[in-house]
Parts: sequence; C-alpha cells; structure tokens
Amino acid sequence: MMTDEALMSAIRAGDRQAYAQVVNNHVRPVNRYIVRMLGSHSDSEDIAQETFLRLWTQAHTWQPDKAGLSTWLHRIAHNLCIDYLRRDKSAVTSEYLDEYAARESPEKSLAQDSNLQALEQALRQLPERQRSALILTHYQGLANREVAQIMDISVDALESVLARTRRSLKAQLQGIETDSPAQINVTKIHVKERD
Amino acid sequence: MTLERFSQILASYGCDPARWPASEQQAASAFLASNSGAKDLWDEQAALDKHLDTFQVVDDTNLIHRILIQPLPAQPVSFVDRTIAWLLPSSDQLRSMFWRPTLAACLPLLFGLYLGNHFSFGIESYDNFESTTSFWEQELALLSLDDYAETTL
Repeated sequence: MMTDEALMSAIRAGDRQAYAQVVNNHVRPVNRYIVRMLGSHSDSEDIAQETFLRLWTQAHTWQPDKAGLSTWLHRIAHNLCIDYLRRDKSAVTSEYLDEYAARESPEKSLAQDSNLQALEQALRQLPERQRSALILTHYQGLANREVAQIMDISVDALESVLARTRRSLKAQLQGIETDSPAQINVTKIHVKERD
Repeated sequence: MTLERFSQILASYGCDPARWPASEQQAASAFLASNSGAKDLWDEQAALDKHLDTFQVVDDTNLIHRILIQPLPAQPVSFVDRTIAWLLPSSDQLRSMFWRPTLAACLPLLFGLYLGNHFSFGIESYDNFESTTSFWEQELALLSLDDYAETTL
C-alpha cells in the first residue's frame, strides 16, 4: 500500500490512479464535514468536487512535514465552506430538510425529526468559526492540533471557541430529549425555493 | 490533573476521552475514575454529546464517481522537473535513456565551440597577420617558455 507522500508525488506527476485512490480514501469524511457545515445544502456536492479538484491542481503545495493529507484536505474544504457561507448566507438559511433515513416507527421518527431539526437549527445559528470547530472536533475525529491548524488558530484559542460553542448549544437545546441517532440522507435532499 | 483543568477539557471537548488532547488523555481518564466531582462534571456534558451524536450523515455513494469523472487539467510541471524528466526518462524509453545523457554531456562542448568560433577573447585573428609565417612565429613564441615581452622588444 502506497503512503500519502508516494500518492501525492504520483499525483504531482499526473497519475490519475493515485488521484482516484486518494479520493477514495478521503471523500467520505471530507464530504460529511461539508454537509454538516453547509446544513445539508445541495451545493455541498459542488464544494466537495472543488475540494478534490484542488487536490489535483494544488498537489505541489502540500507539505507532509507541516500537515497530514487529511488535515490539508479538511483545510481546503474548510476555506471553501467559509467562502461559500460568506458569499451566500441567505441560501443556507432558507433551506429545509425533507427526508430522513433510518426510521423505525412513525412516532419515533417524528421525535427524531424534531430533535434533529432543533440540533440542525442550533448548529446553523452558530457563527461559522464555532460551527467549524465543533464539527471538526466532535464529528471528524481530528486532534485538537489538527483542528487548530485547519482553522489557523492556536490550540488555546480553539479550546476557548469550543467551550463557548458547547455552552451556546447547551442553552439552545435544553429540554430536548434524545434517542437513537437519526440520519440525514444527503442523496435525497430537496432545496426549498429561495424567496 | 486538577478539577479546574478537567472541567475545561470537558467543556471544550465533551465526554469522549478519544476527543481529549492526546497529552492529557491518560491523566484525565485516571482523574475521572478517582474523583466524584469529576464524574458529576462528566454527567453534565453527557446529554449534549448524546444530542450531537444524533446528527449522522449517510454517505453519497455516487459522489466518488462524480468527482472522478470531472475533467482534470494538465498538471503544472516546473522547469526543473521537465528537465529531469527529459534527462532521465522512464525505463520503457530505453533509447532515450542512452542518447539523452550523452547529448546532455556534449552540451558544454558544443557551447565551448560556439563561443570559440564567435569570440576572440583578446587573441588576434589569423587574418590580421601579414603572413602565415609571422602568425606561427608568434604562436610558437607563446608556446615556448620564453618571456614573450623580451622577444618582441
């Protein structure tokens, strides 16, 4: 099995098989991050495609001694998400989720839908920096140093952002019961017409 | 590990020790096991973690395909890489492997011949001498170990 360094070296030389392997290794976590950041927006697919296009075009800028490949790809996705959110904030806030998978019973799914929507709403209301810090730490399983590197802040600053984020979420979600995880099927998202 | 630091870790990273800073994981886990106040703090954060865990994303299996079929531009190649690739081609181009280094080695020679042909570097041309004999006399004087200045005086 080829190392990340060998794969990236092959990509720099124009090897499409190496590119396919890196995409295959990293597309799932990177796409999950984008979907959570953009609130399941349909443009998440475009952002994911752009992230991996940059993997190809900017392969020569990756420095393995400074950041792991996963961290580097998350940083590209993070910057694209932030650019997108700042450019078109209204598109994200006008969006709704239509379908959820993994439904066990109608009563339970209603409760799950309601809980998930509350969480989705609470996450959407967070400032981009707080949302990103929480998603990268809680869902992406990245180490604090990696998250700090992606967000271009110190570890101390990250801890401070995370503490504020969790405090804010706790206040917003107080009183909502939780059950087993509900799932968002990103292949079946319908976007409501913009006003 | 102090209760204050443990509280900060929980407030920032939540209840799962896997998300805690690697350098403090062991100490914080041991502190949690031995301190009742730590357990209370842990319980306070557990509800939020449980709530956050409900937000799962199902992977789009077609996304890989859509990424891989998008057209990719040619890779930008630096001058140095292009030169190295030219000098040391892949092993399936056996002929290139031999003639390219040979030609590359000849380049300084060709460059020297070009320079010698176009520039005099202060040496007078053969045509400026009155006769072939005087030219060769001077050449021989130069080649000999005699002091050229004395011979011309």
